[in-house]
Amino acid sequence: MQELAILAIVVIVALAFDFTNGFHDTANAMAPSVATGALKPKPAVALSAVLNLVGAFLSIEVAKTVGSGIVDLTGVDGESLMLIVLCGLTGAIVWNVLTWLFGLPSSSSHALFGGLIGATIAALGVTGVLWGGVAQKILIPALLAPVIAGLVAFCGTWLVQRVTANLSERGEKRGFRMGQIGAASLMSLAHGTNDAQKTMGVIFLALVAHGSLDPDADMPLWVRVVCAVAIAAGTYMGGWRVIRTLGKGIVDISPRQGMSADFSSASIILTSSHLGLPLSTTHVASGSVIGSGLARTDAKVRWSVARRMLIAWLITLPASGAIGALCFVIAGLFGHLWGSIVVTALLIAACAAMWLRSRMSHVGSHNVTEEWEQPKKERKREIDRELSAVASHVAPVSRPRKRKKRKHRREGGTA
Amino acid sequence: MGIDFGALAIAIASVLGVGLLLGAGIPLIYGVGIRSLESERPGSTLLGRSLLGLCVLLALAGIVVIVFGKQLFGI
Repeated sequence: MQELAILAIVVIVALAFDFTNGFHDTANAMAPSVATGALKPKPAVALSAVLNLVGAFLSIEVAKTVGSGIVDLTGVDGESLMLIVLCGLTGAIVWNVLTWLFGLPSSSSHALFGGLIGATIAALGVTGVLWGGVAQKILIPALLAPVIAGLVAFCGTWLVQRVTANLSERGEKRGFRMGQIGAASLMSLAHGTNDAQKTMGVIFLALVAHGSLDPDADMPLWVRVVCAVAIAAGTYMGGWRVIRTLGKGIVDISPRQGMSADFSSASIILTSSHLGLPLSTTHVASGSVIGSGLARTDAKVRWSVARRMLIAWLITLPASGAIGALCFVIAGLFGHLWGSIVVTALLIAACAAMWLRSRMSHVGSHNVTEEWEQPKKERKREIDRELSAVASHVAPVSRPRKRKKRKHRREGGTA
Repeated sequence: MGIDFGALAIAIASVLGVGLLLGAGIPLIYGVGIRSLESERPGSTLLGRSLLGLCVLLALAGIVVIVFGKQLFGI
């Protein structure tokens, strides 16, 4: 009975993670289309939700690989394993909601792996983690994903810009609108085939730990259905804060640039899923937007936003790991069942607090496409830089103004 | 567990290759198609539409190969 109760909690929390994954990652596919006005915000998230739902049923290859090669949980009893999974999920959800609050696109997959690693270290020590697997499956791909995506998007945008340089503005907007919608749809489908599988894998792991399923069994249909519905519902909610950062914050996206970025992301994610190279959709999408921004001469990348994003990427794994480990320690104080209940209650409280904080500066479908406002400090620095440029043009630094004035006065005096 | 650098390098090269081919290739074909549609030369509308159709076909073929490649073609 106790095991069944813990299993039920794990399944509910896993679906909550799937939901946050969906609403955090809506931006990856739809931010460029929403930013350029190719799609209105609400229809964009609705389209993305439907395609995520479809994508979740297309493949279960990724589901089989969740956790394998990263943590070694052999020999752990069923209840402890379920508790590790629960604490890992809690770490991932808290990190997802926190980065959403700050409007930062960060990887949900890395948050999940980080949470699992942290909870495993708290339960079994550092020997429970397969560090070679962590490097190969998480760290190296995390470094490469934005670089590969940026390179591909740079090439795509540069080529398209060369080819369509003489296109009229009306032709550009109308012509690339359909291309952008198509590319964004492809990206949403890719996201569904990739990310919904991770939660399926986690629930499968919990079911095996409980003894309800054989490790070699097929993925139950109900698991596929509930995971697909949860990620689609999360996508439909629309993580507007992240959409705003990715669509408006990093660079002002043009239609041709948005299309190139989306095609770059979709092709890389679909290929990497097929080859088993676990690239984060968030890292790929962000890299594509930056790469396509660099290819344009008339738009500049806001590196301050990109830097904040990079910092969030770097600390995703340790931060979610720390939360996962802390949750396992707290759960250990209360025993398996009560520990699960306390951890879930803490999770609900943390998420509610962050949601209430988000209401103080609400970002929704009504204001997601408003112009990006730089923070005061950066704006001041930019104005200073412009003023000094103007000043240096009028009076170069090598010839200070005061001396010049005195000289003039002297000249005036002698005349 | 050690790192299999060989397999990793092959996977990265493949992702980069296919990414450049499809991720940069499809937008390029699409761009040429849009330009042809706006051009007033004879036959340019047909060429433009054909190129846009090719983009749709390439995207669909990409999905089929990547999602059902193992079952259909063994790749």
